[in-house]
Amino acid sequence: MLRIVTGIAFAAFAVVGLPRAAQAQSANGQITQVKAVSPNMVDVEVTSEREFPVLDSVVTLHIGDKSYTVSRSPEDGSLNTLIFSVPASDLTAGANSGAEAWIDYSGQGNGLRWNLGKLNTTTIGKK
Amino acid sequence: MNHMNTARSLTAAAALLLCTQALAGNGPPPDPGDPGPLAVTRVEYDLGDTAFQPVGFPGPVELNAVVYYPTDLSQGPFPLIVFLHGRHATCYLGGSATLAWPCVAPYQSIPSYLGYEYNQSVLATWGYIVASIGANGINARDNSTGDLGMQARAELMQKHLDLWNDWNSPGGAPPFDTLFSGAVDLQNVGTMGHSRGGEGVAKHYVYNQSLGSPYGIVAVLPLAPVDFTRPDVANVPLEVILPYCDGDVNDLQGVHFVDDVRYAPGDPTPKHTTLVMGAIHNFFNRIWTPGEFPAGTADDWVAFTPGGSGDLWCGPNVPGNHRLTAEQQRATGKAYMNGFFRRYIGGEDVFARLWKGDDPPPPSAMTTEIYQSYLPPDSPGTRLDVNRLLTAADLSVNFQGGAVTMGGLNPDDLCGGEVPQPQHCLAGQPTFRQPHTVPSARSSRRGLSQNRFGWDDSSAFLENDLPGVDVSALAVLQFRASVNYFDARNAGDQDFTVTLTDGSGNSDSITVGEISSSLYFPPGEIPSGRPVPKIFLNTVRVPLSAFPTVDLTNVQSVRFDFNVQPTGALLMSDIQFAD
Repeated sequence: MLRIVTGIAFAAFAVVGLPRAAQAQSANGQITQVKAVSPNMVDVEVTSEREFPVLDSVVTLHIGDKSYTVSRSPEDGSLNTLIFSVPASDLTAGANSGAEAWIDYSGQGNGLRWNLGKLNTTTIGKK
Repeated sequence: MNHMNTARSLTAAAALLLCTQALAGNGPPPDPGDPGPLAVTRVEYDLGDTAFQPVGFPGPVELNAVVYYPTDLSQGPFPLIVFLHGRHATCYLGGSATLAWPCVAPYQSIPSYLGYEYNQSVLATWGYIVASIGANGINARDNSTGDLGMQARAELMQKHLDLWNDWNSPGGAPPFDTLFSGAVDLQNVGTMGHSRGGEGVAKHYVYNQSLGSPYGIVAVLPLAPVDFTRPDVANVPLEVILPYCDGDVNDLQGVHFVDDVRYAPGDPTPKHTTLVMGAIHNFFNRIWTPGEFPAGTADDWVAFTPGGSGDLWCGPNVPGNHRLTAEQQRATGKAYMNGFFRRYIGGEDVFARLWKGDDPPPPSAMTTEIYQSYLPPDSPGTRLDVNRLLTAADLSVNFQGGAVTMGGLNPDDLCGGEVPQPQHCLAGQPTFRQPHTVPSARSSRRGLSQNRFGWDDSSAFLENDLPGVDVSALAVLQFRASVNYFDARNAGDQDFTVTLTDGSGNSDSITVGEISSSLYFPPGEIPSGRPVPKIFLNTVRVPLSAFPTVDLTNVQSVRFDFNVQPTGALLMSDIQFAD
């Protein structure tokens, strides 16, 4: 069971059965940190060797059938990392465990996609 | 000095001369991309990378701009036009880009605001002060805000106008002191925004209104814009330029700006879209164009579209493709952006035909593959609606109270508009191929209501009866339409016959293909999954001069006979008589 602890960074999510890149525009990434920032919200940090381009369409984190579009870059502005604001309830109590996670732009927009694998909340907090 | 300033006087004189020449058969219509008679000066201002703090925005924003202005400011006041660039990386080091703000050494700022100088430098020669402002501070943090930075963009625009108001005052203000004192006409302001800047200028128009309209925003031009929050830009001339091969905002959602306000009650201003068939997103900004800056550039169609480089229409290296080079695309941007502001700020009526789509693209645009659309103001002298096609009732009784009848159409329904219409018109097709109905990131507003119909033999027809309307003061019968690429009954381009009948039974007919190429089969490869083909409803304007025996003071019906091609399917909206 995922517990959200204010100010403590969670370890990396497990990436299970990561699909190989299905098309030229797909890449892999990983959720590298989940950090509680308030009783209701967590920051989900995602990294990728392939940069997330700065586009005018909206970069979107998908976990199962839920989508999250409020994000920011780290303070150094690195394009290899994005930090998404996600309601804590979407990641607690096993919610969405096993759901596929990925990033794209404007939903189905331009075919850019970062596969993050399946969310495994049982490993949260374990390095 | 009143608002009939030097720019207007200069352009009016030039327009009169050119129009007279054109009417006399002495030459082609004027080209809005050509430079004007005035010498211009370039200057930049920079009040600092953290000089402005939008309310509630999670970081500071720069106050800087590059300005082109007529060198002889004593001939002013001149209208002010403000450009706002879109979202892009903000800092760079060598070929590496980041999204921080302010940039920390050794990183330097990416000057996206310098990307439109090709345009500013020409527009200024016609008597305009043209400032292109920086917005990197917003781009660095806008995704963390609920409206994706749109209110911050509006406040930034307003802040720059406040600065110009100070510089325009008798005592002036630093850093220009009295250089621009009395030289700026802040009641004749135009705005152009690219991409997220496009929605930024739309939001700014609404924001300025909310403050009591301290500045006169008289022309608004979103360029390849997003429309996340769907602000209504009504009661101001509006032009949306859309690149068919956009690889970033590839759903062309900016068409919503026009669709959403086209029937704003009493709106005395026109709305336009310009669809540029070979254009992409980034080439309108030189700093975003590969080869023009060391970092952060992209051919967005190729970089962000799976298989895009091999697309038969948009792939730049495919033999026979229709992509524009960066130079051609900037030329198109220059012609249409400058033309819009000269038409609606400068009052150069000589461009009226171009903006209605009645003249071909000007030579300076460097392409003829452009579709210009026009939605007239809401006034008796400019528009008489036949059928708005908004609700199911419009399929049986039209806006003039006449009967709507059809034969042989299957289906014949409405899609894309309000519930209970289906949200999209092409079931099973990606929404990025259906710009008029694509959802918005921060609004649940629906899209354009369209009449969806098809026919299986050439006896099919659609008729709108009218109560003897007088359209003698108007110039055309027009409608918006697109070929439904996803209906197999369309083998290629479409065509049909338009017939008007008067109260005495006199009729004349013309086929659309005789006067318009807008019923093209949307280019693209349907199975590819890529963003083209697209449904885009262009305006078709049928001149009333094509109906010589019809009494235009007593028109009794508008009939479409689908008898040119044996089968077909169209999407249609906005049937109206227009100026």
